[in-house]
Amino acid sequence: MRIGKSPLVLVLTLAALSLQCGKKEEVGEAPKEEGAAPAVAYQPTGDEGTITGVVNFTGQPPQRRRIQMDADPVCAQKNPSALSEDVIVNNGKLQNVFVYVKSGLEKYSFSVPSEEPVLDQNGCMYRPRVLGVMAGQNLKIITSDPTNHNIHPTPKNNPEWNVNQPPGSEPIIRSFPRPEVMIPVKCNQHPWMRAYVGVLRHPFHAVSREDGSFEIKGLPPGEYEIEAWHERYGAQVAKVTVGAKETKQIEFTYAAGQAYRPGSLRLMPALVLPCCEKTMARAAK
Amino acid sequence: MPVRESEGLYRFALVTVGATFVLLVLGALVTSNEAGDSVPDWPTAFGRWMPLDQIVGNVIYEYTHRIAAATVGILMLVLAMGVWWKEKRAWVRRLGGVALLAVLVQAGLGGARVLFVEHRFALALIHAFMGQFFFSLVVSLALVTSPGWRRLEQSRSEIHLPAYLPRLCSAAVVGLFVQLLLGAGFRHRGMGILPHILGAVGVSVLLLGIIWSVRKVAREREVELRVLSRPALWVAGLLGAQLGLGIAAYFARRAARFDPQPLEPMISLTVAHVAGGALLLAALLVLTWRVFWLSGMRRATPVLQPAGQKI
Ligand code: HEM
Repeated sequence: MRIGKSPLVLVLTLAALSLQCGKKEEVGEAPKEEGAAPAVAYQPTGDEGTITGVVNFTGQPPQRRRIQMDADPVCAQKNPSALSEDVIVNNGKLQNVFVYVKSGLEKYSFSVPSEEPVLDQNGCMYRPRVLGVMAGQNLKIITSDPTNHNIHPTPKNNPEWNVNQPPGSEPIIRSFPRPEVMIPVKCNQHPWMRAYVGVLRHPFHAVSREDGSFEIKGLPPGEYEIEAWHERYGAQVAKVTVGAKETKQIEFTYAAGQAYRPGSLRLMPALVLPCCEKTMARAAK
Repeated sequence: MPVRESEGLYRFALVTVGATFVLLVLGALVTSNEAGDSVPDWPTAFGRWMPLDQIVGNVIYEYTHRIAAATVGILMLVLAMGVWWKEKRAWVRRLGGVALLAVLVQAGLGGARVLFVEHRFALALIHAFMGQFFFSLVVSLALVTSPGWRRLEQSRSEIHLPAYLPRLCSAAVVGLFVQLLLGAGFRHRGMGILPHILGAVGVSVLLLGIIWSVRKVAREREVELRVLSRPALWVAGLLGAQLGLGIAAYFARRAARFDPQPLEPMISLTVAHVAGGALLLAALLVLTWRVFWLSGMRRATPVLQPAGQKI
């Protein structure tokens, strides 16, 4: 039979291409910028400054939706009135915005903190929903739920993994070797469960609290680009100069009507496989 | 082989077609519910064969998909053995062998999709494609073991179908497979919707061309060429339904983009669209096989089914 051969060839070619593109670099040191001077290990001098601020939200925020947990009665019982957490606005302030130093620290390297941030699965929701770690820093994943969960980060620049964590089991300790903002984390057993982990090459990050406030402490004096990232409303950048022992105040403002196009629904770029985005961008340059 | 002797095989092939269709629907439910990675190991589930107490939330979709896949694997094994022992036509026996191989490859791909999460997109794409490819093989097996096909083989009347028709049918089958791939590319978030929409236009043009020429042949020869016009009618109906479902699925996806979890009507519409793709493929294959046979690609004398004779 001749029919059917050609699509098979096509699919195998596509697969080969995709697998080729999907190859991630070997795990190791965070990649350094081309031509950049080698970074020196930063030693605190006592002159460090602080950036504080608030994330505002203007306009009518989308209403939080009821999460239907009936598919797992344990979840439904433990968390009967769970609401969606993608947009949480209190009195015009936006919660769960990841704020971090995007640039300005290239000349320094920082040692990886020994402290292990905790990601808890509680009431079939992730606590916290947004968090930051340094590349190579241990993340401790625990479960407080009497039901099964799988933890599945889907990074673009780090190795992907997927592990099961039954009730009462030992914490899972993992780290991400390369900087990446942000890595979505999912539980495929409970598809409403979503968290985002920001992985940086330095420890300077914060997540906006219920009142929209944030604080980044211990910054070496210098000029910085500070990025605010929100899962639905995207990223904003502010420039700030921090002097010795200075505390600088910045504000970010997101608006309700802000344009947003989720990648999965895009019309174009039509044929860019997710794994190949970097390769294509390099080729375009 | 006399017609009655082969009927058991045909019936069993039909059961396998039905089970494979159910399996495709269950697979589509896994994707639409985002349940693809809910069981992180394979071939066991959470290290066990029957993890009944761990079937929570989305695990039900993934686990029933596995059970259905195992059932289809066993059905295919029995069918391939039946074809091997009972079937005299060597090419049908080979077709049975290829289908058995395809189901084994498909099972391996399903396992690889679970174990190699790094290559999620590529493996999901190939797994989606191979699912439809295997379905097309069992549909073909059921068709060529059917009593209707026997009658077609034994019929002696002649007809000259336009020479381009078999080529058009082959192009449409290939086009449909490419279209399924582009759909899977979008569904698994690897590419935009534009290639799939352009693909739908291309496939529609090819299919309408086939429908138009089958009608033309039937009208010109003033015969009721039911053996072709019936599947052509199915192709037309399913194409219309599939285009409608595709548009509905797209708008349902758009409307659901801020939903905290997969919800209706997005789940049903996207699953129906995947199932519609499989049915359209099946109808086109029936038409294509018959066109090939009637145009004498498989033997020296072309045949015409006498007007009104049921096949
Ligand atoms: C001949 C016509 C068409 C065929 C055969 C077809 C087939 C398919 C198949 C088989 C899939 C699923 C692939 C998989 O994951 O296995 C799919 C996905 C999809 N198709 Fe089509 N399609 C057609 C036309 C259209 C049209 C006109 C649209 C309109 C925009 C459309 C929209 C979609 C969407 C939105 C999805 C993804 C569903 C999801 O998100 O789950 N399709 N298509």
